[in-house]
Amino acid sequence: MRDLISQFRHKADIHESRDEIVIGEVVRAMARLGYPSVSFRLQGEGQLVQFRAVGHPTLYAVHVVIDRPSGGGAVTRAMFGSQVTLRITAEARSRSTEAEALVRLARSAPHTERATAFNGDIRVEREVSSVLAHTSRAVDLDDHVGKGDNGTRMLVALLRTTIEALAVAIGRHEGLSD
Amino acid sequence: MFELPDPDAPVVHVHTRAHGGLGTMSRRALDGRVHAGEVAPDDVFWFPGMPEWKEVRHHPELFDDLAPIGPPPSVLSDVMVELPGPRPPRPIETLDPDIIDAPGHTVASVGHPPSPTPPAEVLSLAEDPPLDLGEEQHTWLPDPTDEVPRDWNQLTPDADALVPTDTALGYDEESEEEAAPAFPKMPEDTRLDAIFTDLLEATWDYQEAHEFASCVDEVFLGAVITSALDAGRVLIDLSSDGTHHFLRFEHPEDSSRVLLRLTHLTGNLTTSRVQGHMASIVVGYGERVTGFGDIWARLSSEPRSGLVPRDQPGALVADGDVASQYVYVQVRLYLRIDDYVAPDWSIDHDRLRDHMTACVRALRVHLYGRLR
Repeated sequence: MRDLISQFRHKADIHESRDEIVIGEVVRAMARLGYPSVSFRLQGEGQLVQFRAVGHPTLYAVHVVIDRPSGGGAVTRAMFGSQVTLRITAEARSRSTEAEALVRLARSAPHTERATAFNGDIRVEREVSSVLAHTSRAVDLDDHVGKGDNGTRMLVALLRTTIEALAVAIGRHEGLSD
Repeated sequence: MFELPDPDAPVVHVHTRAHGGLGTMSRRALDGRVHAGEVAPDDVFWFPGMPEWKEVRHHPELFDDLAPIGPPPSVLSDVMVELPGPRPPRPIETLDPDIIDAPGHTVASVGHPPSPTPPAEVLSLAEDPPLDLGEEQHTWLPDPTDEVPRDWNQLTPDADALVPTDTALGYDEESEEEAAPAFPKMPEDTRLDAIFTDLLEATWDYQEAHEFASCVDEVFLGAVITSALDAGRVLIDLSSDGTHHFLRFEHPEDSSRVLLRLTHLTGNLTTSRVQGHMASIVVGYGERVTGFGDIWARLSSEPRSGLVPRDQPGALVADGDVASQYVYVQVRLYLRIDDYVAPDWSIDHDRLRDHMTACVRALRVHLYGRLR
């Protein structure tokens, strides 16, 4: 029991848990989309959560990094009304065994799609046998935390829209769609 | 260029896409096989002195010195020389209307007479109705000496290769200019490619099973988070020490907290296949209390002989956190993750929510009893 309690002693106030609150909401929203979490780990200044894109026709995984801003003086203020940046990456994995296709994919060049009204810039690149599409979205905690089902639905919609935009960008890059 | 063997020397090895290796034969016999449709232009041959296998269509000289089987080999030679580049369309109006209208005839023919022993299906095709000739079909003229019109497209699965259209070959002017030459492919390579494909697919299958086995605890962790948030709590702590995952939730209205430590007990594929996916989970429920000092003193005065492990599974244990003034009750359980997470990654959220609610309720009741 002491071990379990001591794991959390460094934080006594809910207002110091902004990042974790966002992680929780993102995990729940992704679960609503049918994408289970498969990894939680720190990455640089942020917390990375990886999801398996179960049932998605194009994607293999979705990676979300909740950026953790440096400096701790504004945590309480940040809890109310501040924005958190989500860095979202969609991943498609090649399952081609054709030698020619593998060469063609490996030689594909990265490209960037300009921002639209609903999405930031999307950068698409190939790495090993995966194609990755990256973008960032600013999320206002006030819109989602403590807002009940509406808050969750808004976050689900934001993630769904973003992930589909990334999937389309990957499709364009790989010549899978117009 | 290599020196051709005698026309009747049976030294030419031939390998076809449709039927595999045909063994060795003479150039004359090969000519007959080509005419019979048993060897397609893009099938390959080799004979001693050649550095590598070559496609028949690129070497019309194989047949140039042979007495023609039917009409001069120039038509077939033209086909072979011109492939694989795009063939300019022949205006449809230049075709002999008598030939077009002939029953069973298709313009998509190389225009050679049948071989001395044509396949039965070749003859039967003479009864087939004529093909519809679209304006965009790019074809070769049939040889007017044809006595038995045939549809070569139906002779073998690869018959298209004999009379390709630009569309069938997927060529267009741009792609032809841009395409790099393909890596040369020998007959044996097809078999090796199939082996490599099998190896890759077996690897992916194993990887999928291994990945599921190693990360199913984190799938479960995400499901627990979802379950707790659906119960109105917020996640306020998330950490891992490599062996255990730690979660802490708080209810914004009453500030009650739920702690959780999850340990995956069967984290590799072999163990999980024997035991299923098992986890040890410690669930704690706590509330901030007034008069914490008195309660803390009472909890501390409970007998502790050191003979009984306090974290034994199934035992409800109370303790306090001086820093936050919370008193907790916890229980350690063994859970089958398989009961909540299926191999297809689907999660039974309802079942998990039910089970977590039952745990928290039991702990809460116990805490009230201890605080009374």
